[in-house]
Amino acid sequence: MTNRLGNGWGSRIDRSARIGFTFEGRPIPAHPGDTIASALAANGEWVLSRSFKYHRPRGILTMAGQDANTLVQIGDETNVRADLRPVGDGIAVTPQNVNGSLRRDRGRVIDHLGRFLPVGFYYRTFFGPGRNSWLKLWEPIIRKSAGLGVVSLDPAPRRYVKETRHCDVLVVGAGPAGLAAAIRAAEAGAGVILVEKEPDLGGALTYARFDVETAGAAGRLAALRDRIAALPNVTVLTGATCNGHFQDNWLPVLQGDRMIRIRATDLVLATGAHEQPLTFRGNDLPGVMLSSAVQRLMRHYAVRPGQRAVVYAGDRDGYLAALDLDDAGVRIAAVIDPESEDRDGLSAELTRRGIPVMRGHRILEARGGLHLKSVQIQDAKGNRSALDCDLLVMAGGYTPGYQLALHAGARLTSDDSGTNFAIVDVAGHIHMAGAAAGLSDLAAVIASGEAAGARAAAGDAQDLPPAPVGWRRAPPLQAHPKGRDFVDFDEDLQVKDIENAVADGYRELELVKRYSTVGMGPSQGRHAALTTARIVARKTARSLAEVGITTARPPFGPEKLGLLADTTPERRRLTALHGAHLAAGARMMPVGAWWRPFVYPGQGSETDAITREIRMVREAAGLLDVSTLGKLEVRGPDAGAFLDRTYTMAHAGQPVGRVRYCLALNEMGSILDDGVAYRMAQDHYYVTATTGAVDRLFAEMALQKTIHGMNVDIQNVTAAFAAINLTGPNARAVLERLPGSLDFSRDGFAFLDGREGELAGCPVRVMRIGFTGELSYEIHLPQSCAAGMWGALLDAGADLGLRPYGLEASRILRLEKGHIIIGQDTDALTTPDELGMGWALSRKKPFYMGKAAVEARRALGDKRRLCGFTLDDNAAQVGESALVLRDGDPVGHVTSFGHSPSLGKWIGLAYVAPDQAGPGTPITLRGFAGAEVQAPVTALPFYDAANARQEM
Amino acid sequence: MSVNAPRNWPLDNRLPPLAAWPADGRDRMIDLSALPRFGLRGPGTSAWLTEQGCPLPPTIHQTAEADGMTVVRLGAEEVVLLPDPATGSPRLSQLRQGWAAASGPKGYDAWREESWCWLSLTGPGVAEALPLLTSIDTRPDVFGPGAVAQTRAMHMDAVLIRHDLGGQPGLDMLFDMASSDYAADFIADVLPGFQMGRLAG
Repeated sequence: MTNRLGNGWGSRIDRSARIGFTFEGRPIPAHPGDTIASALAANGEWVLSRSFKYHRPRGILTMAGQDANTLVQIGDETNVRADLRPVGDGIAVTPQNVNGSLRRDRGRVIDHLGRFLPVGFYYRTFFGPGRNSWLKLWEPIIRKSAGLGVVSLDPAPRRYVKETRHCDVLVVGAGPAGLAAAIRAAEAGAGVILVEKEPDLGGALTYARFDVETAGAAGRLAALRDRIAALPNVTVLTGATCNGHFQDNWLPVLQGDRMIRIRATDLVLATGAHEQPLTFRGNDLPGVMLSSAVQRLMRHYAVRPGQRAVVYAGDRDGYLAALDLDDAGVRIAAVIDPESEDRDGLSAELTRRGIPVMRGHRILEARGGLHLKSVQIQDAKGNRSALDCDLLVMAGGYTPGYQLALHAGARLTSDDSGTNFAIVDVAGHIHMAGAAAGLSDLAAVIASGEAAGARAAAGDAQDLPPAPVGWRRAPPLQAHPKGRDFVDFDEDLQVKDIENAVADGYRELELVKRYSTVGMGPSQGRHAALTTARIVARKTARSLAEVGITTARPPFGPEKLGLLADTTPERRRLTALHGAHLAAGARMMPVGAWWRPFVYPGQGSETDAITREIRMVREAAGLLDVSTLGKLEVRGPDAGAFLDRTYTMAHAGQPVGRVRYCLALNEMGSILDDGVAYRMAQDHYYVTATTGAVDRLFAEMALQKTIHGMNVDIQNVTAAFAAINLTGPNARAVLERLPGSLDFSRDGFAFLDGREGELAGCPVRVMRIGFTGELSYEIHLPQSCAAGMWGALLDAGADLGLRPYGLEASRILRLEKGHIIIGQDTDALTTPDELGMGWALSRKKPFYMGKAAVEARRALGDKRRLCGFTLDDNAAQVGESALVLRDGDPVGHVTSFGHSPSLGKWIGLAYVAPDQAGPGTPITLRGFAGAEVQAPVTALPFYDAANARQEM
Repeated sequence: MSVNAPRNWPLDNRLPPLAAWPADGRDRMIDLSALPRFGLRGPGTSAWLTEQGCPLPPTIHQTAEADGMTVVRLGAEEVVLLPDPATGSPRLSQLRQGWAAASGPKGYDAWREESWCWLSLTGPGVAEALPLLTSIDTRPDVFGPGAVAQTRAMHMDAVLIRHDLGGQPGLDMLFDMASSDYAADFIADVLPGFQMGRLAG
């Protein structure tokens, strides 16, 4: 390791241990605690990536994960920030956006073609030359050169965790202000969560220099850490980024592969400040770094950032960084101060150390190839000179960490020079502190944190004192005639690009952003926004305040899709008979959240099995698991009156022990659901609903009960009861073989009767109803008894031809009888009249849900009718949703369709024009093959028109 | 409800049976669905239970302990009684029999043995597990022992009851019986350190 400093530097690394990884195949030694970038720098690897557009070499800029320069790929993980990610022993790191190798990138040729890639060139270029050039020519090229890593189509599984936490006070940022805020809030009794994106607490106290002497700041850091550690009501999350603010202080915090959703009563934003780069030709060369990056490299990782440095001191921190470099043994060629006089009071110390200070100078250009070699400077009189160096340190001022505050609706304001900022209109229960509030003096920063913590713990309104002037000296901004003076490193945008965007007519910052893509890269304008605003202000002769800034939206930083997606198992509901279906070889299918048997294929094809199951029901008996049917207990003195209000038929007068069809409408008069109501007692109905609509119906019932103040208890017992449909001519014989208390004889248990009793040792509710048109019993029982009952029925009926059947056979069986399926044969506008179900609407009841709307819609006349039709063959490939045409125009569509083995025909239901619904009327269907076919409308039901079989 | 036939529970074939409530202090998810429990709802519930000497928590979303039962109050007129899974509760069975024989306003059977799966989390890891299961505020001062929440957990409606047992932090979860298998999958996914088992009825 060639660039390591001695002891006293490197607070985060463990020098006693060594680990290693590879970078572009080269072995790189490291210490535990190193980041990928620090280990590379320690070994003289300063080029980490190639830039997005021009493939220029890029290296460490912020050392804080705030730029795209350090994005690398680790295995199938793309866009890893090398300056934040700790080294893992043995990992293989590769650079991104490289055509060849980092040092010999063939894409570099684009850098010489820059004149052909002006700002907004893609808006003009990708339209031509041909009509479909975008798809055929440009898109493949753009995809190939997109530059942000290679997405694996076969990634290794990763475990993403989501959790939710609550706290009284959330403090974002554990620098001196955040630590002080957390301490003060916790000491006042608040439960505090402290979030810090770095691996340790202290923020700038861990790397920055606050004065010539350093002991005072070190002491403060130790004291703050000790106090935090002693407070049990502070939860510390390090390595965690608060990535946005949503309403009511709802904030996502990302910590590796974990997303912690935090609901905070009060929020302290101690988000610090972002140091800003300077704009000059070659400002992107490896070796040109922010002063804070240089200090982080030295203090955190003991990395010598260069051998001979030039320091641009646009503010006091430049001088202090120079002192750090001197302490570390880095030779300093010069400190460049744009001011003509000493405003910081630090010149004497630099002079004492023999460090030259050049006042009234500015930087014109940085020169080098893969690394910085020299800097060209210019004095106030225009005299130019060059300084050899391999490190250029930029201390060019700061912008506050404003993003989260702006997510919450605050505004960022600045003076016209863009050197003093304030965050105003901060929402209630949000408190700004420290550098984010515009402060830079350490004592003032800590005091502001304490005040914010106290306010947050007390829930007081934000009462921010005006921030004293903290930063100064906006560096002059002039485009270099040869360009390569980058405003946005992510997008390779230069000063002239922004100027040209304005010249192209985009005066407003939001438009400049969209036209040029400035601020749209991974760093989201943290370093480009201020410079861009300055350029736009200058070019449009407006002030910075008039130009404003672009909208800040979550997320603050990058976040993995795995953290956004729900990676937990998909919700599913299983009936109590699920195991029995699997054991019988059923092919299961999802129906909403439920899983149901589609068919029991056995040894043959599924088509044959479905036909076999249909014939079995028609000729012997079949069992269908209908446990997914919605089931409601409606109990209480007003139960009958309540059902009268809910359903279209009359239920208050329904005899005990009888079952009646139920049809529910919504307030529009459209069909909401159907089912049956079994009156078990004077004040007790057991009501079924469709699988898909029971939750909606239950909610509607709860609402109606509340509206009408009725004395009735409604409980959704869908999961509590299993239900088995036993159907077919042998059904009664099967039941009569089982021990129990019920009389299943024809006279003892008539069609539409309901009985409660015991069967095969189980308490049951049995209804003589069915969907197939055959003799049917629907057996409802506690779900815990279902498997036993299922087995008992199959055993009792084995020699009577009883077998289970699946959903597809059930679908055809009910279609043969012309029964509708709510949601398949109905839509949001279907009325009972359209289904020919006027018989289900009570004319005597003064009210039921949807009655007024039904009558109003009836007065408007019919729009369509559901009818049956038949086809002898299906060469035209008619299917569900096929169009019904009249004179070439669609007038309806097919809702149900299938082959009926009982009739030897294809049968279906379709909406047609009202005057087409009479039996025998030919309708025209367009099959999926495109051909049209004529089908006669057929009276329903298709099978057993007299409905004799169900009443056997 | 009188059942003479064998009864089955959704996780019977998935989870290993435990001979008794484990006292080893490990993080566990235990399926208690096979244990008796008794839920009442509707007019008359509170008065009838009070008449039987069953202590009702004064307000909803609270629990009371009596005779080896946890009395969970879910509404002004909605209660579920859970037995101590370590010792059982003969009193609970007596109450059920008494209710079946009683006439007059007594609430309605809420079918809680059949409608709700009952999973219990126990062990030192429960506090850290809660934020992975639900979005409610689970801090001890808000959702401490004896607290009840009717909320969303594991992406579905659930009743959560903080219920420490045997000196270990605990959470009882009552939710849609048909989602038992899904819930076991969910817990296996988000709480891989919790061992799973079930207690037979």
